[in-house]
Amino acid sequence: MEYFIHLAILFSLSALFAISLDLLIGYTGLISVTQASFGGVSAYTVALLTIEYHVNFFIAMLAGVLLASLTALIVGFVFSRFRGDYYILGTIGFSYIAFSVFLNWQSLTGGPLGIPGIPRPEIFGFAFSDNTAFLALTIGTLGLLYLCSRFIVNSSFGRVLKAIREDEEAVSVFGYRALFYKLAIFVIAAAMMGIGGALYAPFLTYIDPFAFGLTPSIYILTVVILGGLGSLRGPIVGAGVLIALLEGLRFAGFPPDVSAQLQQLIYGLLLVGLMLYRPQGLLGEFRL
Amino acid sequence: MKNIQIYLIAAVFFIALVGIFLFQKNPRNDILIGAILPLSGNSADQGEWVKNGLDLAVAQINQASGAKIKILYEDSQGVPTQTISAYEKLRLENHISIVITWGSGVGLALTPLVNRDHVVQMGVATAADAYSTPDDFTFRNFPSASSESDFLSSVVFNQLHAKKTAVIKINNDYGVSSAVAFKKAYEGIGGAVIAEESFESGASDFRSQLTKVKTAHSDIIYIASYPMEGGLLLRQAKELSITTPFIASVAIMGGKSFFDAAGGASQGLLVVSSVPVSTASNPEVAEFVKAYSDAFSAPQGGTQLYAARAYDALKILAVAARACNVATDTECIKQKLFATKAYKGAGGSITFDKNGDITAGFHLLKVENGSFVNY
Repeated sequence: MEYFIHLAILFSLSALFAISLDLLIGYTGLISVTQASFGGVSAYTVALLTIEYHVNFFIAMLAGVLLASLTALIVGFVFSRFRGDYYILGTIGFSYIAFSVFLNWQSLTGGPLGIPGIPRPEIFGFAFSDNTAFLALTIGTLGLLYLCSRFIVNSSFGRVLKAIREDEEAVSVFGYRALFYKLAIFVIAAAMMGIGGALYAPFLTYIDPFAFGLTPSIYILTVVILGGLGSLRGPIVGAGVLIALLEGLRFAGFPPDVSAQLQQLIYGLLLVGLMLYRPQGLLGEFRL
Repeated sequence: MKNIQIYLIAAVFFIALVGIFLFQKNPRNDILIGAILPLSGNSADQGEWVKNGLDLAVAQINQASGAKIKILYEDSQGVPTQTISAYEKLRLENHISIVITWGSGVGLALTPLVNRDHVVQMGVATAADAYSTPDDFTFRNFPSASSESDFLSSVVFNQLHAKKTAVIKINNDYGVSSAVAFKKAYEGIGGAVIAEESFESGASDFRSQLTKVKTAHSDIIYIASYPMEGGLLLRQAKELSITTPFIASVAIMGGKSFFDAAGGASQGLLVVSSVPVSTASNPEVAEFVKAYSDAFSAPQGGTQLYAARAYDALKILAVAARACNVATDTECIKQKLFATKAYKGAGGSITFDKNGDITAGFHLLKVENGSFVNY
């Protein structure tokens, strides 16, 4: 049963990543495939600060989130000028840049060897070393960010985002500066992803560049599309279904090499099937 | 209404998952050993050789009397972050007390966890120097990058009289740790690394790196690479008419795929291996090669290397595990492993030092007509 708690943490983190991306894709129509990079910026910050400088996790997380937001502010300023397909290409480019920095700045990030032994969070003498306690932390964070996101999408700010998604020209005609809104939501999404990345590092106790490359970003995208674009419950359901499906295969009794290949097969089939029969995802209201 | 259906589907998935958990039991009181290997992904062939070696050892161990050994395989795809979920599953659901792992990144990622949980970790293809940690639960039946580099740099400097070396490495856990260790050892004895290039795992075009290395005019080129990339690299070096000799560290040793990738270009490549290839004066090696050939197909090169390492590791673990109460006393297994002295295996003599490392003997091999032979 304890492994179930491990999976539940994995689920809450995936859901958190996906909600942050849904704000971008589902609500604003900006298809970004560099979401994991911001998680990486934050995760590396947390890992280095807690291991090298023994900074408390929550302070390190704050630093990580700030750094992720700052990075997003700088690159977002460029991206916000792009539209449609060019936006996707731009984010793919940044994803490679970030990955390459994580991989090759070896004196700082340890390169491909990664950083092992990241300590679990501690506050006022209470350590989240137990998985159950850590689950409470991640579920709590997920709940909090869910409420924040609901507040954002229901506010007037959120309505402008949806308007940008439907027709950016029209929004400009009404006198809104779309660039500003696109940049703002990009930074907010990166900050939320930063919180997720900060929790991911001490959960696995180990990070390496491959956890923050293009593939993980596409995984998050899959969760969002599966769950449903433009719905905040969608990413949560998407994360649940995907993890249950993929991890469940470990227990289905197939030989291990077969189950690994089946995982990839199901993952692919799911995406194709979804695009064919339910392009807005399970709970979504918006089609790409 | 539609949403309710979807929630129901999600709920059914979860219930099915929980249900499957409850049926996981260990019927007999077997000794359960986890093995986290790259069964899919770029290193799947190495994973398979390790698995063959383990399966062979299990069959032999279980023929003798004593508690039966059962290996629970999990796929890591060679990716450390994947490994952690696999390890947690093995630990929490199957209650393993021993885990066998493949790869430096994987081994390093699990080290803090196995020490926390008092689970014995045995690396069978773990080269990184950082894995040498004294008196903990991590062991490896594979030479460390620095011990291999000491031998390799001495061969390059003293035996081949090469004073200037160019280094080409794969940009992953293995390549980086090997290149760092080589540079340190080689420059320590007076050699100079005059060029250093790297390529990504899975790369297929090495021409720009090779061109740069060619213009450096080194006496020899050292490659730290996996078989597939290494083979292609050698082929392209030949196309670029690079005549400088190549020497490679152990991980380039592959099976058929290496020779296929290299075409004829692997001829004359020097390789450092920690497993003896000659069966002539070595009954343990001969016995292993025969058993492996009977069960699978005749091992050669990398097949023999990885399978023998895994085979020996499991045999040593089985002796230690049977002598202890596996479920409760992993400290005992650890002490038994440290007490292993000069065990004669298919990969040479095995003694663990205080870091849980082996002091391997090295052999200089060369490629001749599509196989690895003694130099």
